[in-house]
Amino acid sequence: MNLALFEESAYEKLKDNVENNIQKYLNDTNWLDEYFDNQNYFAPSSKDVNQLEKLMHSRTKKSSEDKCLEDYANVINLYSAFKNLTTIQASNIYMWSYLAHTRYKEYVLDRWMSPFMESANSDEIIDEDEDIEDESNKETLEEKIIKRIKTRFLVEGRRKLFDNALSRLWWFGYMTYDENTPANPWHLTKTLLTDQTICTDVIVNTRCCRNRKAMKGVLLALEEFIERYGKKNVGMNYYRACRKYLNRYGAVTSIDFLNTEEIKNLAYNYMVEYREKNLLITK
Amino acid sequence: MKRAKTEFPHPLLSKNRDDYINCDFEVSQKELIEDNEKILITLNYQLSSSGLQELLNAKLAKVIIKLENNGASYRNIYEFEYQKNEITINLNKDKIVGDIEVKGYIIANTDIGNFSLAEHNKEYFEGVNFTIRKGDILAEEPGIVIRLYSSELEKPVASIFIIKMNDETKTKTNESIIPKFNKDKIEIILDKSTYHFYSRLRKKKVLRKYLSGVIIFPVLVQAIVVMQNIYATPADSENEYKVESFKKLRWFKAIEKKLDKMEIDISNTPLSPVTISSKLLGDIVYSAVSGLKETIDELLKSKSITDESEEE
Repeated sequence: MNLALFEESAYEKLKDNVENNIQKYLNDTNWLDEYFDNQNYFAPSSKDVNQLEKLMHSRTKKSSEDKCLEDYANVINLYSAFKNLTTIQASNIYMWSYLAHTRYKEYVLDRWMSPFMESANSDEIIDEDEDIEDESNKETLEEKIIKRIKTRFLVEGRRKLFDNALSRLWWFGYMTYDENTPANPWHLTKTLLTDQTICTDVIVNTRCCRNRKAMKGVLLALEEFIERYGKKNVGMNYYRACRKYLNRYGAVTSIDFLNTEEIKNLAYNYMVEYREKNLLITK
Repeated sequence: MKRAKTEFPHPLLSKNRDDYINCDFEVSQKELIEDNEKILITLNYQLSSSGLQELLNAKLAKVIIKLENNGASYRNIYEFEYQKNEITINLNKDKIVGDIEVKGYIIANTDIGNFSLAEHNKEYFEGVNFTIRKGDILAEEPGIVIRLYSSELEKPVASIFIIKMNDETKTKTNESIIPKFNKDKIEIILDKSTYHFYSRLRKKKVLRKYLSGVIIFPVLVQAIVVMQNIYATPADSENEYKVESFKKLRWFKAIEKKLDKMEIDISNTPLSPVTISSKLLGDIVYSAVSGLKETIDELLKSKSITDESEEE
């Protein structure tokens, strides 16, 4: 399957005109040919990847856990199909944006836009784009939609490639695929996608996790913690406290210099101690 | 990535601090070699601190380089071998996009108890011993940014331009062409009619040179004037920040590098901006006019054949 990518001018035009095209984005049909008046707006790429016809998706209302399971399956599907992309190729915003607008538009609509297609009441919309700690979000419904389109269809979110609906799947796969465990190379992916908040906290808010080795150490720690204390006990608080600790630690220490086992022990021991302190306080 | 000022729980050798007296640590780029597939960066470090040097000799500390490339989410560390103050880092080009940030550190190779050196500032640290953890940063230096130009050089200069249609709902102007120089690519904003004509004519390969001559060439002339004004701005002027911001833009660096290859010193050349721009676009004036003539000749030829057949 050959990939394709937007012409830069086409991407810029889409980016500058999101607010005028909201209904087109929320529609199932392909509107780009007409919008660009049959002018060239994309170019084929010479990059050949394995066929990936569909991603797993449905328009039914999904719980957070359902979304995580869906993301997990799609990370495996997409990363396996596009595994031979180099990191440079996988950093191409025009490619991911083109695929999100065309071949995988249905998936993007179901996964990210269905709340806006079903409900006009902004209070009902659970916005995964919001940082849970930010309580001052007072966007209108239209502003939320525009932000979601720019973040998921384009690559204009705060977290860029980790936000776009498709590139995030590839990069989650790239950062977590464990070639040292051939029997189950996706075990760290599963841990990352324990829930959406942990996923954001690990990928975005833990500074050392921009290094794959450090990411692996942190996920191994989480995996062991969940195995010992159960998934429900991880919640937001233990890892959130741990990532604050790792960020402070990483300000004065080169965490990249430590090996995976050392990073894992650092994170795991902190979460265990934090848990024990909390249990003492609540007694 | 630049870091906000951090308070360390132990003395840190750094240019911005006085934790150490009469000491210094610096990393510099010795050589940079690029080819189609690889980048070889040779770096060396200089250290003047007898206490830290002893830790290095005893293998209790190490000198490392942290290399980051945000464009491709690449981040890695490289260690200097003991007793060597030079390192060559070999990178595959398919892992790197854009600028590479390189920063040197001296870090603890193991836990160190009772850390106290003669060169620590006695005003702050006399009689104090510190506990150092493996990986703790003992020295840092400002770092350098390595700019890779080859990807720009391999593309034609026209690749630093982006042509857009004027969105009349957002702007009140009805100018047919507006250039903007404040982003990584030079934006050429055309009014709706001009943009439509441009889009249609661009499909004809033979007319592309002509379109470059009409649209890109005059904007490039202005870009050269902008660059010359930037170079003429005194270093200590109020506009220094603005000047430095311009110099970091991708279009600015790409043109600078191209002119460097052509051995044209833009800040001191007898050539006019028009001549420089034409050279940058591969003598666009000649190729645009000849391309147009070729098209017209073809049209006339096909018309004369039609006329002859009608006469018969």
